[in-house]
Amino acid sequence: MPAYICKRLLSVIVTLFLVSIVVFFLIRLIPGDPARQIAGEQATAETIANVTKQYGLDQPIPVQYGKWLAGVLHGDFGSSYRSNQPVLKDIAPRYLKTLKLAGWAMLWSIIAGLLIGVHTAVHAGKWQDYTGVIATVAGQAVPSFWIGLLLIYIFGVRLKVLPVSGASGWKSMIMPAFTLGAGFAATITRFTRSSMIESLHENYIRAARAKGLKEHAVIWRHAFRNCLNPVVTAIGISIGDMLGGSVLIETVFGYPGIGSYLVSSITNRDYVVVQVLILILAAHYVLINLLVDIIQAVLNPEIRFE
Amino acid sequence: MSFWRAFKKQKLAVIAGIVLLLLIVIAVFCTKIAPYGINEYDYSSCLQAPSAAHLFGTDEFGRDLFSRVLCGTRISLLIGFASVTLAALLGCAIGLFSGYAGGRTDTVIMTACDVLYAFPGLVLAIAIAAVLGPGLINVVIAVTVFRIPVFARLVRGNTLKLKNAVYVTAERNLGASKSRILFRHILPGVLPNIIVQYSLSVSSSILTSASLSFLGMGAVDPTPEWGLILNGARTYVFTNLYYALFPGLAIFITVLCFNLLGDGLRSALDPRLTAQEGSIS
Repeated sequence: MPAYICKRLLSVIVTLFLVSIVVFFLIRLIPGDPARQIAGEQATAETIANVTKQYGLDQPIPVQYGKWLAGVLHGDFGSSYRSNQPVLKDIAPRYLKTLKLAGWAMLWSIIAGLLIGVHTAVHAGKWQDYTGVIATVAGQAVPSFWIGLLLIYIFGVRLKVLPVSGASGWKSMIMPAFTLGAGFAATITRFTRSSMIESLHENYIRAARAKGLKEHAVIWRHAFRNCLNPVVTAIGISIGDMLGGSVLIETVFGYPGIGSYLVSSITNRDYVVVQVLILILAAHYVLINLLVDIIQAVLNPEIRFE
Repeated sequence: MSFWRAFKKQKLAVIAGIVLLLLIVIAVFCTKIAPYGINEYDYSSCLQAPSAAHLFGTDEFGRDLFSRVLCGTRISLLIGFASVTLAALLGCAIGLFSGYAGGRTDTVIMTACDVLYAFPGLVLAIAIAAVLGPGLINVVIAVTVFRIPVFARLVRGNTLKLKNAVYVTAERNLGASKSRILFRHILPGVLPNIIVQYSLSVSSSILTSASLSFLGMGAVDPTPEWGLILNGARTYVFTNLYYALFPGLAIFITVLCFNLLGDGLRSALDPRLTAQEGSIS
């Protein structure tokens, strides 16, 4: 087990390192002088020279990268040129907001996904199953930002029960969290359903029923246990969609998290911030996948020896 | 022949396929079917609800939404097919080569793919779109780049499995050249998976390009890209629901059909695959 974790950790570190290089160079791929990008279109030659010196853009690229990386590892993300604030100060509160939103979204979608998945699997072939499957297939195909707009209209404008934007109070989190989790819930339902159906056909389930075990215990104490592994895989796969989805949802609902910050920074050409945000999102994705892999290795000993 | 029989059994996929054919017809003939031009301003009829004259209503410039959504079909399908075809060609080439070569080449190539994989889907597309700037071609590039590793990994995995198959070893012993083995023997074995992934990737790429345009990083006005129309609808959703309703519905139907088609293809091409997690049947 420790050997497996060490191996995965090593590959994660290598991946993160490469990701940081890609992110660093990505911004520098934008055509034009980076100093001019940061200083803005209207800047004079003097401003550009100052920016160049301030951001160390006249130094060789590997040196720039080294300095940037050293800064990032110490939590110093540089200063946003737009707001002249240290980036960390701008990002921190927004990061917490996104964390809250994503946390609620994951909570409801995992619980709903597991429950609906088990329910449709147990009633496979009947109307509960068909409704569930239709809902999941639709849920995976529907564009989240569209649903967001429709919900805003229905609950915010017509029924006037929920706030249409912002992050003031728990009510403002209901619609964004629901929309963010919808696709996730659909995927989890599908995975849970197919692995439950498989589990329910196994011999040990037949044995449990023959023993006289109540159906309730058969489903939850036996069959359900075995479908958790694929669900963990599904979570790992879908987290990326949720991270990307948070960018869209936060924009639609005007929720002040790092997703909407990324969009506004790109629109404002605040590349210092853009770089950091992309790095943060990618790093989270990699680390969550690492966590998922470790959990899977715990649940399924076969993986540790691959 | 057995493939068609198996496919026909997937009723949902067949319906999806028919709807998709209809969408392709719409895409090809959109300019002839559309009652108005896509950029026909008419300030006397701004933000009108659906009526006989304007089936889906009008936007803030008085442009007919029905015509715009209709012509958006052509753009979305073009982006979807172009980007995924490119990604599939490049990804397959990389995957075949990497899987067959093995060793250090394989590790290097797969590490490069892992790095691309490390970015959550939309974030990578946004990053590339941020670098390249707005515009349809840049959207295609962004979506292609983020789909290549999917195909590369898929093909490489299958190549690794097949390269030690008996018939491949036999060919090798008979003196067949590497490219002959790759293209005449290994590739046909991988093809079913590629086809399934192709269909699923088209839906994903249409969703991604709509997302990019919605965020203002993709198509530019007056291109009637569905995501861009939704972006315009955002400002007016408080009073004009129909503006957001129809383009979103169009995206939903298209993505749904490609997903159902992909699932049906997967079930038809290899019944064993349906036992995999995540399938409907």
